[in-house]
Amino acid sequence: MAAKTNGSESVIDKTSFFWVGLCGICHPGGGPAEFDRDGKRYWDPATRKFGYEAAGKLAQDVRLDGDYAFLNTSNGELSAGRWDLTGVAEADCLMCHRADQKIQGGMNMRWVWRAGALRARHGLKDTAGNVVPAYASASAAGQGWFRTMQMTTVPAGQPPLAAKLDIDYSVGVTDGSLLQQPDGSLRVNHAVIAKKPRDYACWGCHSTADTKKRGRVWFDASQDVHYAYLNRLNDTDSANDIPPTSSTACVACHGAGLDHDFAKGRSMDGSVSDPKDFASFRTCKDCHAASGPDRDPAAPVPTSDIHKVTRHTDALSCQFCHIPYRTTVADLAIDNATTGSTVSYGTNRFLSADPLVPTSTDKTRWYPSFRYKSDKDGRLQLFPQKLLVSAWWGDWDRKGTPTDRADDSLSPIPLWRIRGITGNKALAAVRDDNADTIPEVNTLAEIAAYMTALKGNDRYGRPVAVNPVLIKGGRLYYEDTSAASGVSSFEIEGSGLHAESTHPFGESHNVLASGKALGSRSCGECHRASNGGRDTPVFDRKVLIDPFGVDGAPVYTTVRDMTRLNPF
Amino acid sequence: MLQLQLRALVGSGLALLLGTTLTGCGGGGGGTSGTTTGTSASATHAAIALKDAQGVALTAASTAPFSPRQTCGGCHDVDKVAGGYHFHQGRTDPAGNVVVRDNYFADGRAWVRSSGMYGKW
Repeated sequence: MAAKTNGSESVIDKTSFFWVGLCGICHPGGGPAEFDRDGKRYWDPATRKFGYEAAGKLAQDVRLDGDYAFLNTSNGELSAGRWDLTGVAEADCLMCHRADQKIQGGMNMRWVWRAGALRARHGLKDTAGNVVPAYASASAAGQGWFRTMQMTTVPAGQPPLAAKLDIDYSVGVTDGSLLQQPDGSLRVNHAVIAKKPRDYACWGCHSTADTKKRGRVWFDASQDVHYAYLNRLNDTDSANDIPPTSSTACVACHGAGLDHDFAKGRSMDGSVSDPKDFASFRTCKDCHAASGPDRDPAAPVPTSDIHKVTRHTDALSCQFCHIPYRTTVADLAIDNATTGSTVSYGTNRFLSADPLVPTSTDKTRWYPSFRYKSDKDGRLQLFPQKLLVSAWWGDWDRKGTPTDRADDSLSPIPLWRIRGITGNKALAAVRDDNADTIPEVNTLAEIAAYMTALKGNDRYGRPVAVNPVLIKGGRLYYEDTSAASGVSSFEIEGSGLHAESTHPFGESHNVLASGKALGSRSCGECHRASNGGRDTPVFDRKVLIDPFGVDGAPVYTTVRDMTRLNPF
Repeated sequence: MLQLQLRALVGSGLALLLGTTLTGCGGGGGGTSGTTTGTSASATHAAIALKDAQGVALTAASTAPFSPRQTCGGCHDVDKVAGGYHFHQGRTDPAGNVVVRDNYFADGRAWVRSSGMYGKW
């Protein structure tokens, strides 16, 4: 995200205008989609003035403003964000509070329509060729109140993109979502408004992150005991089943008041409004405890022998055992270094259904690793996670004090600037060392070639990086003229630098019942002594930390090494 | 370019449930209480006057986008709702002040600009 104030085009990446058009497809409008960082509405249709004009500024004053500029990230071209053409995206109440869902092929079409309009940015037009304010129209599009929506073909995996939109409220009158009054005005039919958002309203946005980052599934009673219970799918009476389109299971746990601060747990990936962690949120222990104010009377109290071992319940979270595996492919590694565009590798590329043999051809499952996290009760316990492994280029400023890393800064290089050097393909020096037909920068010679190239200029005549460094596999690779290859590296952890090449995504959903939990088949799932002295599927499972080491082979660690837990 | 003509959902049958007249939300903007759909038992919300960004009532022939702020804001405090974390993702503090800044945690990560997901690289 671009800063508000920028000294040059070269330091700008995604501006607010960009953010609303792309990232905004999974945000509910309002806030940063409506107001700039000075609290001014980006564009006021009544006065036909930009927010900066209300603040007494002129267009030339905001040429590099992170709220009012637009940088085309495909080529780095800078222009003005045309809020006057798009309008702003207000808080989209009906995006979440629409009772009747429109699902096609598992997709929430209200999300698809809204996203298509937003992504069109200042290019959205009606069939007569008139500009349609894309951001302001996204709410109407999401409700299906249009006569025509013409979608552009996009590459697989990319969000929808509309080219044309004809808003037509008569469609809403016909389908009953709008009521026409005697004077011709319209009212939203209360029958289509839901106080509690349906799961599909949540899933429209959260499916992207939760599927790609965590391999989560939803609407599948066989893969989530809570979804099954909350929708009465775990009994023999099919007549009481709540269908997926009516499910409100998400807000059963993640409730909110008028402030819309949804109850939540604690994120593993940096901070997510940490002071609000666990506020009004019931954890596993709260509901399943034998007693307590938050106990859910329907929640079974754990009584099996495995729960009586205090070492288990002290060290391990409930999720540790009850989220034993995943069946949906998730992103496991992303390479932002080789071409300057993101190359993704799935769990099926580097993991398998055999936790000890990642190369197994059985890809029907993969397994999480674990990380210590404080639970609501303050106890530090191991929780399941899926690490997203990344490789990226940064510019390392040592502040003239090479022996003191505490004051160093390390800034990721915007990808548009890398693509300006690479031409969006691997440099000629790169070989495909792992023979997967996808080139990767991994050898010291290749890394050195990139370091030289990235000292070249961007389209504005400024060096892309002064001191380019590669972050990959937990190491920082830097230029070192004393080394034979010209490149040296060190482990980032413990170095004093703050940079990550693995990003933890907690696994808290798709909880399975006791019969499928770890330990239900054998103590040998964790304990070598109960596994004939052999490595165990849990503590010796392979965890990817680098998709391609200097020899091209993937680098793994194990849960045992990561956690430093060594059960007998 | 593949051109998909997407038609909106039609004929849901909601209009068959005519019956109750509700007052309340939507009364602003010069509108009158309208005939709504749904039974008393299912009436969880009054019908709401659909308005554009300038508060003008929309008709079936209108092509201007409806404004959630104007439409829902007659009854609900939209700024309170949209001040929530789900909307700002760390851009604001609990009092609603924009708190975005470079190197938010003063730990050398210049690209981290808030305590939440907003402004992360």
